[in-house]
Amino acid sequence: MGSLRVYRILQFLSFLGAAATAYFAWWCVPVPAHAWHSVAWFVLFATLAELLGVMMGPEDSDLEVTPTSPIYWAAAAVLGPFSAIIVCILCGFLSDLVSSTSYHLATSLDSIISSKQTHCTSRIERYVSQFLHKAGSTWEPRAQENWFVMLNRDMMYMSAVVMLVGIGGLTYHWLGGVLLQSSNVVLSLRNFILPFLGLVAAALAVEWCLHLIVMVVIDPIPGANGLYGVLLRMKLILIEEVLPFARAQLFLIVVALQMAYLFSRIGVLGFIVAAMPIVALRDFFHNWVTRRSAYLDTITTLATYMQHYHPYTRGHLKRVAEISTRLARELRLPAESIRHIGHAGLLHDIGKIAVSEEILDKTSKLEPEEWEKIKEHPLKGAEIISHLDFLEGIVDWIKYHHKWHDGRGYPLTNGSDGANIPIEAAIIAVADSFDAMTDDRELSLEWICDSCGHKPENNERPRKCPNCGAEKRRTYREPKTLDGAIDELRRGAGTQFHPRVVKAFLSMIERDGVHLDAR
Amino acid sequence: MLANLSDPAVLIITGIALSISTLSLYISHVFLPAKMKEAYLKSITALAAAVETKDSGTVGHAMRVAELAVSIAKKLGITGNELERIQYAALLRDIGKAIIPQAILNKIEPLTPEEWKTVQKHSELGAEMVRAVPFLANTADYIVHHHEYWDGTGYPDGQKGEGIPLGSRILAIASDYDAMTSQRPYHPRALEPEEAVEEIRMDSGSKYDPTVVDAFLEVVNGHMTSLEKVKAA
Repeated sequence: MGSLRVYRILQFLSFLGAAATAYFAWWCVPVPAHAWHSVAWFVLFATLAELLGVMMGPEDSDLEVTPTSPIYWAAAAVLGPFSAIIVCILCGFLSDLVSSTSYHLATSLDSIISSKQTHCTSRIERYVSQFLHKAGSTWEPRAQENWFVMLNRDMMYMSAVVMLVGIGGLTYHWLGGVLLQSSNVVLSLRNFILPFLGLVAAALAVEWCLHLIVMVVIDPIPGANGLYGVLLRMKLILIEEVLPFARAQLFLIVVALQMAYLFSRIGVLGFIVAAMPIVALRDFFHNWVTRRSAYLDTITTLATYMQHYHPYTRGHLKRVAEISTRLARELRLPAESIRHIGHAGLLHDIGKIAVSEEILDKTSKLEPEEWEKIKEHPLKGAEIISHLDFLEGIVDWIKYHHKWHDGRGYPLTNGSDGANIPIEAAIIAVADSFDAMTDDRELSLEWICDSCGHKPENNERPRKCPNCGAEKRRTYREPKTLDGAIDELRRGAGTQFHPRVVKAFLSMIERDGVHLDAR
Repeated sequence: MLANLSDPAVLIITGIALSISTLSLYISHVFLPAKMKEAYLKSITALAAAVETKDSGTVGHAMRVAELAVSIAKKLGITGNELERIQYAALLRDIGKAIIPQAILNKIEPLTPEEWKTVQKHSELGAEMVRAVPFLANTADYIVHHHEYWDGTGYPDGQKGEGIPLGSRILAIASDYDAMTSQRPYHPRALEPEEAVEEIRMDSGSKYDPTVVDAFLEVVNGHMTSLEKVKAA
């Protein structure tokens, strides 16, 4: 186990680095007088922040930031690096203690609530339980782990934090920042703001470097060795972990600046002022996200039910939604598209509500005017969807889900070729055709013998009628086998279907198989 | 420490923080709920309109029925959530028709008993659809019974009198009034508003709840006198 040994060495080095940073910090910047009071306040607020993470964006965008780091930065500027290190360590222990306690309290409270006879819980009970769950949420995933592994990881994490805070605080000192706790000088760009930005830059640089080193060592990218592997990992970290948080990080820097300033001027009151907008914004985002998703769920559920004139439709719509969502992920579409393509999959045929069932269910050849009726359904669906708020984005996806990549298909639009069809419409087209080809619509009909009207029990579907021996005719055509359907998609790539979507679909099927939750 | 409160930078930062907090609290607790309510109403009207194109081919019945039902309910002293519940129930009352074959809905000849049964299923189907949606589940009761009559001759359960929820009794009058005054394939001549009002007045106590009919007459008379005033002016 070479990598384990390297990991141990890394661990040792990080302890060493943390100790060295702490020593340097103590040696370079004297601890201001009467600092202990402030240290206690910083620990308290940092722990609170650690326990109650703040969602700074839509729920599924993973933009949860714990506003602990601005408090550490502020501590480094107010109290100097050494005291800030003390704050980090104490906060680490305290937050573990609190989160483990609240996790256990939450579990026991839940069992008390569930053992009560009545189903209604009081409002206070609900709030307390919610709060404990939130505070214990960082502990919950760890509860299963070996304590030794846990301790090791915690210590390593803590030494990383010690290093970044210590180095940040030292940078602040070297750039000429004054310790806010002990000075009453007039603060300016030169002695406060610029050094503070230096502090943040240094802290972030240290954080990402440590992260890079750990990732390179414990999770090497297969096939990429040496410098190339390091660069590749750097790129991945930049794309996946740094850039998405850039805006939130900027916000945190502003928060940290004002927190440091306010604490030095008006003490604890400063924390409250600085925390107020964060709490309010958190409430706002939470409210926005939950309300919007509740609205979308309501409307899509209702609209999906409206399409269930045929037992076959329900499963079909769900499967199209599922395949489309997976395809959108496979193609790495923007988060907004991935979030909404499931809705579009469920609603893509809603225009058929205006088409008579006789035409939709017809198994013989359709008359030209009947075809015209059917061809109207994407436009009608788009018209219905255009009245639904927050779904404006999917109107075109539904309008063009029967438009071919080469410009054929319907609706007829002048001069619209494949380039104008949104990729999401192309995805729905592939998912829709694949499911229509492979699904056996026959199963949605009741099995009744055509000649004697016999109905077998236990929902059997024999080939010949057990009563009179007559051969059972199919109403719908035989479904295609998986290979047949794949062939059809491959043949249609570039004409009926978007080649990129077909390619993604094939590689997805090859990797994951065709198991669908909705089938 | 508090002496520093007069520091202009502290005041400015505090002011900004306070205004951000107030604004976001206002948006999330006042503005957002109002906007969502609007969005719901709009979307549900749109879905109801989609069903109407299938049913009668003309759009706007659901909206008119909802308006009438709300005015009747107001006359009866209903307010707040209950009023909203009646409004949504009125919009969604025929949503079950979405899954009833168009050929039956638009049939000009008299329906066979079998077909009639299928059509009658729409109130139960609609209630079932609505029940699946948490936010609208409380309208299900009103939707199931919106074709019940005061004397027990309606469908699906043939309930009588006070056994029918008040919301459904209001819906029955509002939707029948709208049906009588509009043209349908199976009912080609639309009644004049006065004729329809007269019909409903005659059926007060047999088909319809007398108190609700009184409220309905008040609404309609108020409406008609205001129309006459407009004409006179």
